[in-house]
Amino acid sequence: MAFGYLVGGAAFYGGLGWLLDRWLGTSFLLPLGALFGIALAMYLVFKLYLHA
Amino acid sequence: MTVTGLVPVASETFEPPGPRDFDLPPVFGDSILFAKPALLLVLSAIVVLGFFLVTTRRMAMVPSKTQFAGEQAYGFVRNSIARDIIGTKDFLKFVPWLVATFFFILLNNLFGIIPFIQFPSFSRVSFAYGLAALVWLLYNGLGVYKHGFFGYLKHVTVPNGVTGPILVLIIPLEFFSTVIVRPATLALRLFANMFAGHLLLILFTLGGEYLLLESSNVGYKAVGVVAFLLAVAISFLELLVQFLQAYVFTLLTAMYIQGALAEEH
Repeated sequence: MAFGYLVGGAAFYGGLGWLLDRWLGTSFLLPLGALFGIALAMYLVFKLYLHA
Repeated sequence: MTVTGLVPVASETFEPPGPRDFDLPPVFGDSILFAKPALLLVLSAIVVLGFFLVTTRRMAMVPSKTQFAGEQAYGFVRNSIARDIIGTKDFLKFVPWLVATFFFILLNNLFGIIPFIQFPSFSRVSFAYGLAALVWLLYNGLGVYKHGFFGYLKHVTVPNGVTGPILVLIIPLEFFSTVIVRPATLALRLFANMFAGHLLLILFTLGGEYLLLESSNVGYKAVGVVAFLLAVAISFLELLVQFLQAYVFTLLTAMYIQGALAEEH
């Protein structure tokens, strides 16, 4: 479950970064988005499972 | 010793096994439907069905040996997967699905080390995708049935205890990980374990055979024997992995069912 969140976060926000990269012609938004997604996923995992 | 000295002197060079070893030609005809992996799937369905038909044919209060075996197999999935995960209220109607899933996958995995069959069907990724697609339809269908379409959408995307503006960021993540990543990891976990295990086995047996038979160096022949022994050892490891992957797949199916039916996230 937690693994799914990490993959999902990296894939979704990384994908968003990739799309923005293509649109704006940059190349730093994909890794930035992936890291942001992982951070968000970790926040969610802590939130959901720490007090459970 | 030079680097070239490491290469065994032989009539032909060793071709390491690779993904192409999984592309088996059709046994008869020219349709992929008659290739070994597809035929193994059919065989496993017949064997599993036959096993449960035979063991439940003459049911008695005092079970015969075959009935006992069938009940033990059924009871394992019923009690330690279905009931423990889904809960006593709803689990019973999912037991047939879970029992069928578990023994279908288990037998197909065991094919990887059963002599003369020796091919785990789920090392072909399309079969794993098919199975995961069925599970995807099951748990999402259940969720929509239980909560309604928009109710289920909310159930899936809004985690319990998370409030405020961060939800804007969380909702797409939740949707993505539940609806898209989940079936993919379910399929790939099974596929990759079977694929890697089979590759390892053919590497050690083919490599051992090559070292033992094709090389003229006594030292290499000894290494070839060691490779064969390791192949036997890896077969036992594979037995564990094959059981475990069937178990994990069924366990996760039960967890997804439970998640879709739960009152809160």
